[in-house]
Amino acid sequence: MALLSFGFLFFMAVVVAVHYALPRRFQYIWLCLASLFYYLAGDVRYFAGMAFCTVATYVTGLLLGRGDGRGKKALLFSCMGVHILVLLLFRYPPAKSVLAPMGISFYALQAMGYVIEVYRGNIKPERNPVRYAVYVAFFPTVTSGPIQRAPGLLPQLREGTDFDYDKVHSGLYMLLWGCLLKQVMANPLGRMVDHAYGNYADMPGAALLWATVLYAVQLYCDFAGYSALAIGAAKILGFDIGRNFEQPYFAASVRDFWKRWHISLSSWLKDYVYIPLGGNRKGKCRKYGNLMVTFLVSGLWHGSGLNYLVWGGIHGIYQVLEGCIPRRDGRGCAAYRMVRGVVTFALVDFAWLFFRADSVEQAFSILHRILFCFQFKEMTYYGSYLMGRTKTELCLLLAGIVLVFFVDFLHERRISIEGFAARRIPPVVRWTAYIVLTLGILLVTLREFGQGAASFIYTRF
Amino acid sequence: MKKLFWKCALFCFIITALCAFFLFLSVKEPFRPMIARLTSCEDFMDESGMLPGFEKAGQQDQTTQLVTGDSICRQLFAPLEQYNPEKRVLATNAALMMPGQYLLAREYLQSHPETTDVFLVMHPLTLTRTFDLEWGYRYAAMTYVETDTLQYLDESTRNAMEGAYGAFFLRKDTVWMIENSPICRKLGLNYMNTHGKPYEQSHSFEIADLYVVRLYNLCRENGARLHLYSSPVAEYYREEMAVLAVEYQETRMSSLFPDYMEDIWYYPDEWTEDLSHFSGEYAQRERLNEIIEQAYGQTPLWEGLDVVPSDADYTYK
Repeated sequence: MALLSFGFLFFMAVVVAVHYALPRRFQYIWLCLASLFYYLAGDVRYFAGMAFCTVATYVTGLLLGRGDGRGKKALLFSCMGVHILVLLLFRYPPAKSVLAPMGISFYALQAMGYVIEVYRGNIKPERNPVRYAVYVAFFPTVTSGPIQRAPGLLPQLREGTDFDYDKVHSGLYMLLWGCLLKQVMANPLGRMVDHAYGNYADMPGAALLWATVLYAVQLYCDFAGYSALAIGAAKILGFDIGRNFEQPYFAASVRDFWKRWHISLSSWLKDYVYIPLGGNRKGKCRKYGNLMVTFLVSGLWHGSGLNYLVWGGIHGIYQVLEGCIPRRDGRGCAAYRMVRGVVTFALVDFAWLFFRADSVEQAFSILHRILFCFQFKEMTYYGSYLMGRTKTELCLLLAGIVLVFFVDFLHERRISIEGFAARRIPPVVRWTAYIVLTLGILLVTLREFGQGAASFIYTRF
Repeated sequence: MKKLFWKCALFCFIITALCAFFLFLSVKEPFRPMIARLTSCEDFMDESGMLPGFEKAGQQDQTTQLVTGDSICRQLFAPLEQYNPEKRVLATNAALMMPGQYLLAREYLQSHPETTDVFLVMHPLTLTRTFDLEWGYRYAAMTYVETDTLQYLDESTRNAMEGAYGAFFLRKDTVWMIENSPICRKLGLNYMNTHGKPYEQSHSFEIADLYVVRLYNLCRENGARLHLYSSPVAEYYREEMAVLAVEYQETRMSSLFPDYMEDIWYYPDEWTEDLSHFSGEYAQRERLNEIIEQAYGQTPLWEGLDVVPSDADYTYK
């Protein structure tokens, strides 16, 4: 069951109604049943992977809570080792018949994070197996994140939640925004990028560059849209699960970008890979080595192809090079900040080229065409910049991109659109806007329906 | 909580009402083409082309012979109808399938009690068609529902269609919406493509066998004679036809039409572009007449058939 489906809306309505009707101490039981239903609705065969991960980490957590120092480390490494092996098995399956459980890359990290936190003594092991199962399989986040931290989610599950009008209202806003990002922006952009990358040998380099820029927007809208849906769904149930994106393309450096992009994964890697390796506490060489390893791990996590490893390696190199450049005091003037932002975007987008390409060879072929077969005039003359769209559609998409970045700009300035709308805009106007937005989403969905619109890019991770 | 619940309910009601109104407009002129353009449903506005055949079949006239079959039959014989006043040519498309041919002929026989012959000209591959997700719903199932003839099909056929497409998609109101609303058609056909399950025949001629025999009996009851001939077949398919011929021997229709597979007339692949219909110079009327003579010259279909004069120029469209 996709987060973006009528079935999910109906499912959510039932789950929310029962959730708030139950006493808080029993809510986690209902959430467990709902999460199980949601997950198995995808494929019953996924259950084995989920069950193994849940039981293994639950038991490990209990044992870690009891064990002494000597045995604890071995237990931790054994648990981590088994889970890493399982992830590698599904990343590099020995046979095509091996079915990777949906979301395993996400919930496995979530479960491993719990074990590490127990090992470190930051939290006590969760004794209630049902509550722990909800933590691992929490349905808004189980398939594509955001990756939750045990100290954040488990206490909320223990407490339960009361109905909070403002929270639920905010959650509904996020659902609407997530739908808009995914359906109105990501899907149509995805088709354009697929068109360009699928015919890259015949496309002018200028069009491929254009497609690569659009891919940066597509990926952001797709994943931020999904995250907004997940966060919104959790919020409606009364749970705060943290933001996953903080206006990433407003970053002033690649280091800053990784504080804003897929925050749940980058912070997980920082806390459980980079810092345990030594972080920046063992000298500069070791620090750069740790950064490279962390980003290579990130690349591996994203996919089994060499192109993902290259993508991770590129970001590692960026981090190392930024470390070598002396930092400038103060923020600088607006023009300087803008230049930095553009340069950062260009660097990140260069790396996205490898992320999007089917292989390293294809990535280099596309790069070659961008550099040596630019053919800007041909692109404009033959209209290859349209990539299967009409001019009107392209204009509307560009307007949508402007809107998305305008909203990001407001958020960057800490201006809450939701708060502004509630205070300044009359209810009739607000409702009209909601209705128009919803109808717009439905219209674009209908236009794109049956056109091979992509499911969430990160679902396959 | 109640306040939010009623707000959500009101919001959902407004959205649903607006969508319903939009759907209503999508079946009404002049909004239909505008909405099709807005929702990128222009490809879902065409008519199936099957219904006129059923209307024509039901019209009373002086014809006493029916020629029906697939689109190859149509290419060969449709232009000759005006020169043969005793013949009604209702050949359509392979997608109508054999149950559709049965229903069409049934309609004709009911309005033409003096019928003497029914000529069924079908490519062997047409006789192997099943209720698939590509053409079966749009051109066969929808046609049967729209012409109110679904009831005359065998229960096993109705079950097969229900299994493939779902009972909901065989309802008259559903079919009407899919036919008339480009939005509903786009949603319905795409939904079918994802969730439908093609009917798997127990053997290649399962569906056709049932309806050729039924048509044979129906013709006999009405004092007419059924003739089954193969459309001309490209050489490309010769080996495949040899394999099909073995399966054909296991059917009931083979006892009624033992020579169907044996009498296939093969032509060079260069005469066709799509390995089905004649193209280029071979689509010209003069060549088509020659092909008819060569393929059917020894059959009752050729007897008394007036072909178009050679100076006329007809090209199959």
